Amino acid sequence: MQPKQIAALMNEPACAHNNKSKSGCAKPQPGATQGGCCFDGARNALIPISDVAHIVHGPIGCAGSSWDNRGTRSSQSDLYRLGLTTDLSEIDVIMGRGENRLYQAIRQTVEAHHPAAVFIYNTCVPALQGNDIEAVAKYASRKLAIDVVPVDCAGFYGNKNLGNRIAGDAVYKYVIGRREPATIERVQNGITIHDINLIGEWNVGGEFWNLAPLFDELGYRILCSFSGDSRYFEVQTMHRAEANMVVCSKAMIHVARKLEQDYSIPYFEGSFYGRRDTSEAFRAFARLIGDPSLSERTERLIAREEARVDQALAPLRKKLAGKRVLVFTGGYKSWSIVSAMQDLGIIVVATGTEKSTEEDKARIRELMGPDARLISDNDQIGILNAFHDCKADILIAGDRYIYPTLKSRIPFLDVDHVRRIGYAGYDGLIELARNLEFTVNSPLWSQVRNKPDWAYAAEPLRKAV
Amino acid sequence: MANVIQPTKALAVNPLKASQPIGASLAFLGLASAMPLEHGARGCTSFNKLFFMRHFNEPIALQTTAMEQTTTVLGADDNVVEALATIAKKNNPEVIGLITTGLSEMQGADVPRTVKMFRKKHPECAHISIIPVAANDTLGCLETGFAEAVEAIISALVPDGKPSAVSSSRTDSIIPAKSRVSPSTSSSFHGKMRRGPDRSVPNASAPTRESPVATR
Repeated sequence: MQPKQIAALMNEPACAHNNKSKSGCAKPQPGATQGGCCFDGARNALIPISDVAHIVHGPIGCAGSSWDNRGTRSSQSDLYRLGLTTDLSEIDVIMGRGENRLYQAIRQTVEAHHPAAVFIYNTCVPALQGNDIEAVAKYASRKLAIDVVPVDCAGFYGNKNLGNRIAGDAVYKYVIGRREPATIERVQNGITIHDINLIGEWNVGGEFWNLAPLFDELGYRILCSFSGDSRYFEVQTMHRAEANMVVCSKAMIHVARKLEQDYSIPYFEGSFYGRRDTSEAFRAFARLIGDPSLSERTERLIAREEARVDQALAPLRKKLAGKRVLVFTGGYKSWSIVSAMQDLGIIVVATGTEKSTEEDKARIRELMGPDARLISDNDQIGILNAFHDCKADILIAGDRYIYPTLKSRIPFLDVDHVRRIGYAGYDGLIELARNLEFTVNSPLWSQVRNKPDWAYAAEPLRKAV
Repeated sequence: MANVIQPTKALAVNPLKASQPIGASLAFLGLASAMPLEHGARGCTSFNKLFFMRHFNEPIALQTTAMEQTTTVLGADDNVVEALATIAKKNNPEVIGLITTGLSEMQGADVPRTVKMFRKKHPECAHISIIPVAANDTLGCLETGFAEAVEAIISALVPDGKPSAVSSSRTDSIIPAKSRVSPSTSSSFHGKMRRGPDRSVPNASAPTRESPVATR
């Protein structure tokens, strides 16, 4: 990838903070950096496409310990869970056999697993060696009569966020717009069917399935949920939607922006975490499509679902009322989880803004008021100190914080993208509330915080020895 | 000695193989007050950290030199110096394991020279042992990486030519998780390796498991 291509990806006109002098993310500090690389981000973004074989072109370090580590689920194929890598050896590198090996790997994958398409991911070593994976993809695609999509995402290009962008860019360049969706009866049971896309919905723990029946009921056909529980042909038809929703904040916004630019598909940004945000997302779709009957049905559905959720939450709300929570998540979750917490009547004392953009931060201030405590440092000890300063009852964060937190005997709820429980939509909120209640009111905490009886008894014994 | 069999197929499917830097980091994680520092892109470290976290169910101390585009092309020696200085200041370890990865090996990083550069620039960090380990991703696996690191630890920390200093020690005291390098001796590369918790230093005697050698 050329430096100017990377610079172009860093430039995102749809972001309000784009024209600030320090656009993009700060340079990582050697010796004090957390978080994944470009390859990590790109593969995370695309791996939920379920009937595609994802081949990692690189040494074992890149894919050896990281295959099948996302909790995204699929209703169809399990092919995406295979860990496929070229496992480059020293001899391949020295003799320049990387490209040939990649081609053979693609051939072997196609013969053994019959994928709908093959995605190949470039990594640091072949990128530095100068392997032309685009040429290999082109050649393999012609030779084997299958779509091969090169994703040039070597780790040293940048951070995870840039990887997401590269992934979106590759899909836009090679996949979207290559197929027409199946023709269907436009009016069914007196309801007009509208085609939509969800961009940046990963189906973590199957949470997209909390929402899919509601979309069906309203007469939407989801052309593609990019990329959770999606299939290759669905991604190809994304350009025919009437409206797009960007679910995961900024990571995939450029896909939506380009779809708007090239195919005039309007889009909006939203979230499915919390009752308020889920309802707002349904309303926004109805607004963009502008079908009066749809708007009316949407309001009816929202009223019904909210009443159902309120009923289910009533006993949990009592147990959770007045609890204080510290939310430490990156990016869009920093505000969408805050909103979900407020729906439950929980007090959010502070939130982390590690990977959040300026808009994310603005939204947090809108939700929590101007005095919101924002924690930008990802220092683990700092977070635990902030937890005690704020007199919080529970910490909600990604799985990186799970062990420091539990070792400090602090209640913890995992909201990482690798978790196995879905929290999106109305049912997701009930699940979230149930898990929160379990965690925060667990009798375990009082037990681990108190010194056990035998600990007192043991002391004089030791002195005697 | 085990034979390393090179795969004959181009594709590895669901590989049960971990890379050399993971093995090397594992060796350093077993030393008390040691910080493994992987010289490569931040992804290497992030993947390895996750791998250990899920295996041990523990917070894992692992750092990266965070190479990015410019430093990959123009040289990342400054990254190494900066990373070492940052870790020395922030974490104050006794040992830093400087482990190369596929990227830095591919780039041809001269790590021992960079360590000399660091020593010259940061004399205040002279008490910290820095142990470079070459652990290329494209060679070997976890086991070989572990072996490389153990070998590097021994050659850096165990004094040579003085049999009396190590005569009573059994070789198994070098196995990580049992050994501890005392701050007083690790200041020079010729310090002697101590076994078990170091009773000579206040507050240093709080291991979770006491080694049988130390309590003898």
